[in-house]
Amino acid sequence: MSSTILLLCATFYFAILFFIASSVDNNSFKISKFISPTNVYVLSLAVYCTAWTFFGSVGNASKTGIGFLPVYLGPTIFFPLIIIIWQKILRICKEYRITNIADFISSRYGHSNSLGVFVTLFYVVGIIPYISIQLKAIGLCLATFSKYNSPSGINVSDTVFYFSLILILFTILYGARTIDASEKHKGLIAAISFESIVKVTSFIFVGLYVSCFIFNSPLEILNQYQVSQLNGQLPNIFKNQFNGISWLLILLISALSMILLPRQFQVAIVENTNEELLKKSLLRFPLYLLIINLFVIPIAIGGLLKFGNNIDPDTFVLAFPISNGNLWLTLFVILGGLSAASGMVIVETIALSTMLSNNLVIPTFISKKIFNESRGINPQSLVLMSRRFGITIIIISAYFFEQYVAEKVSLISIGLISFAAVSQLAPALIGGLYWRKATRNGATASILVGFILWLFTLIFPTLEGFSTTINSIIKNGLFGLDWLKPTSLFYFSDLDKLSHGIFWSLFFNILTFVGVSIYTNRNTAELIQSEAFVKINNNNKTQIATLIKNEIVVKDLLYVFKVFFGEERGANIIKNYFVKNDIPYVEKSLSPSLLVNYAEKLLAGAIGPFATKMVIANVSNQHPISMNEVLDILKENQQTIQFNKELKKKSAELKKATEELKTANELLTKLDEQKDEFLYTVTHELRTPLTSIRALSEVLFDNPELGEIEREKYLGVIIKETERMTHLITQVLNLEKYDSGKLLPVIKTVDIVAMINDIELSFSTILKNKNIELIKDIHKKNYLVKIDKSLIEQVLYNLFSNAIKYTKSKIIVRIVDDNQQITVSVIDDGIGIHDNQKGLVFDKFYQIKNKKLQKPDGSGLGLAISKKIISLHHKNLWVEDNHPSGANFSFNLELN
Amino acid sequence: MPCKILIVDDDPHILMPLEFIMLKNGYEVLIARNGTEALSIISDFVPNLVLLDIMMPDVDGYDICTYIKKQEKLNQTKVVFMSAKTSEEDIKKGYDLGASLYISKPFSTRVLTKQIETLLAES
Repeated sequence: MSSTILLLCATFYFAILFFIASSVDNNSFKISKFISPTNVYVLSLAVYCTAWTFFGSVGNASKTGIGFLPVYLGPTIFFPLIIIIWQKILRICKEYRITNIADFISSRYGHSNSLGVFVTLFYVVGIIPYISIQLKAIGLCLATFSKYNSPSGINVSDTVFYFSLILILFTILYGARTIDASEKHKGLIAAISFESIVKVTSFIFVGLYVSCFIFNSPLEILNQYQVSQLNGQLPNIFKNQFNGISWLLILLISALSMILLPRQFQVAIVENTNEELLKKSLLRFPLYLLIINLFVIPIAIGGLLKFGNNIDPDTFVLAFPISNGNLWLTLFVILGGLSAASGMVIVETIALSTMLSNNLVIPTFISKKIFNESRGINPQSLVLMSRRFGITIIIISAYFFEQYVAEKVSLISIGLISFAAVSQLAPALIGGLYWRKATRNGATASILVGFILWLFTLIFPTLEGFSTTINSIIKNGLFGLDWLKPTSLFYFSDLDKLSHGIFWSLFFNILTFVGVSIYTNRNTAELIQSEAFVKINNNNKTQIATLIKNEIVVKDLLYVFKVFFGEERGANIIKNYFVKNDIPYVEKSLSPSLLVNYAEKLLAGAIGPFATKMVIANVSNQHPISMNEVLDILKENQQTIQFNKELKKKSAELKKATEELKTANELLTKLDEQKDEFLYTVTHELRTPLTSIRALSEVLFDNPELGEIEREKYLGVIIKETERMTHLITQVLNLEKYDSGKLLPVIKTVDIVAMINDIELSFSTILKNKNIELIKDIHKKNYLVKIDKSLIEQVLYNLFSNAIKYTKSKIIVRIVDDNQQITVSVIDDGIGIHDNQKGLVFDKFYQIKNKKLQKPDGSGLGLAISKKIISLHHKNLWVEDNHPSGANFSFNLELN
Repeated sequence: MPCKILIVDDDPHILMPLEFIMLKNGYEVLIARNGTEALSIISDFVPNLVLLDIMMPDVDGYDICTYIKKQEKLNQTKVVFMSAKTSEEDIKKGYDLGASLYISKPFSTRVLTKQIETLLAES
């Protein structure tokens, strides 16, 4: 077979693949008619099996027996667990429109753009070697081909380069033709599934070929091997292979890689059309892995038997058909290998370029505002350009890596190193999925620590020979410290280099992750996101009714998104929408309703439908939202201890305030009742004199014949009753004045003795008529006091008239000197006041309410007013004990 | 035979005009200045009608009414309350105790006269 035919066939094969992809993409080919969606899904998952599987397994098996297995056992054994984790990831991605791992991680940790960039670069560094081994495998194919067809006219390295270019072309064609909001590539998946069929079929064919054609049966292979072992011709590859820890670690990182490899994330999560497919693939995917690995051992041993050490065991698969001149099988194997290699490269590169574009390119351009200015640059094509540029860069880098580095190392070891690299993201991603307290700092630190250790223990040793410094570090440890040797850190030298590296890097990674997360706090965005991610299964209804009439200016929507999704990402989301839908971005215009719907959906995922409604409503009404208002809303959703504490504290404070309000309310109600009672009594007291006034007036009117004496008598009563009413009204108004505090006493220096003498004079007639003796028990001629004269006059008048009313025979007025003040007492010898009434006598209308007493002449307010007046002087009026009987009213006044 | 009216009120300034008017209308009138006085003379006087103030220091009008209604001798006696207590409960209580009329103070003497006339005419 000439090389021309080979190249033609390869090109033809790719054309078929492309045809399948585009037919599915424009719906002219319904793939579901031929294969069930589950099978398509499982076959797309099989992109896990790359040239490493196709060529490298055999190579590895020829050295380590079943040592190639753990890479496939890992995903098999852990598959149920992987599916559970995938389910959660899938829901989150669907909910929040996440389309790559870097976005996933950065989103979980509070939309940290820096973390997104970090993870992206980390992936690029970790995956480029892996891509390069696919290219190396192609190179191996070509080299093998040349060997058996020399001169073949093929310059291997040139051909590999051209092949890389073809891969770039096809990757761009499959994955960067247009920008789809969902990032789904139906056609690509169809092509990948087809490739999975091709690679497994061709491997089985080779296996059968080797087992049943070259050798008569698999058993015969085994027999021949045992014979040659005994002869010492071949080593026993099956001894010393089961290193427990080593297997365990590889099992672990293989399982983790199923989740963390960009291409697996792409096919399992991003391209997933139905969550049910996850569970349905539970048995079928491990089955695929089983089938594709079935003939590895036979081919490996057969290869050892047939080719010995003459050729690279990685090429056994191709060497068999080609050395026997079987053209068709050779072609089939090459196509199988191509499928295995190209499938990986295309999907992985697309995933990586999406990461690069979203995390590095778009943010940079937006910040530079090239985006906004229409200088003939179509924004949409800018995004496409960046994707294509990314694809090109990645594959070219992989090519150079292959040329200069990968030559020296076996396929598998590079593959496992890549696995170890992506596993460093496991704590951050998987931990972040289930542990709310995981913080961005924890994630960043853990990835950093893991990355550094990975570099030091796994990459660094491969650079041996590049410089003497490197050599000495490898030999003597970092800084010459024994325990910092790259291949035996902390003197742990029992493991092979790979296991050693995996162990330490993961160990410190997890330690850092947990430690830093515990000691750092989540910021607001992280709090929201950690809840949203970890509790994704609890959010059932994220559909919110479309707020049809919400008119939101783009600028406001932008502000909202910046608040919720971070400065950069928030702006990106909004601006991306305009880009992807080819709408001019004008901040002052109203947002298209579809954008508002989209925005609501995104927001609902973050803060719940209710809060979203509020936020949108606020923004539509041009109400600026502060983070505080949002946090108030979120307090109900949050279950952080911090918020609970605050809530409890506030609740206690509120309870106390309520109690105080209750007491105040009770007091007010009581006062209100008192006021009502007062009002009732006053009006009642006015009715009585009115009754007589009216009756008497009517009598006078209706009986003009009444005599002089009668007229005089009646009119006299009318006048008296009028006076009584006036007096009452005056008293009431005075009391109101004193109570309300509107009246302030006018304090002057007055002689109280003189005042008492005046009172005595005005009452002299009554005293004489009633035969009452007035005794003045006063030791000094004057007592100068600081009082309001007219007010105290009222007090004296009131006490005196009360005394006169109730006394039997005498009234005593006594003044007692008491340092800075005097005590004035008015004492009668009447029936006195009962002990338990002593306080009550000062109540308003006390005499009236107490039916047992005589009908008063006064208003009933006299004592209340007197007490108030005295208290306005900041002194007290009270009832003193009196012996043997009678009342003693005493009050203090301030001496000058 | 002229009708007999007993007027009970602790305010002499109300007794004054009432006594005058009742006398002018040809009734036989007795007055009592408080409840105790009223109770002591009512059984002998056996009035046809009692004008009863309610708020009195010793025995209030309600009690007197109750007493009257219990007395066989006074089963024909009509009770007319006059009071400054004008709330619904007070009025209801008055009628519940068997009063024929409840008048609020201040009242019109002309109206009162007419009402008394009507009441006395009924029996």
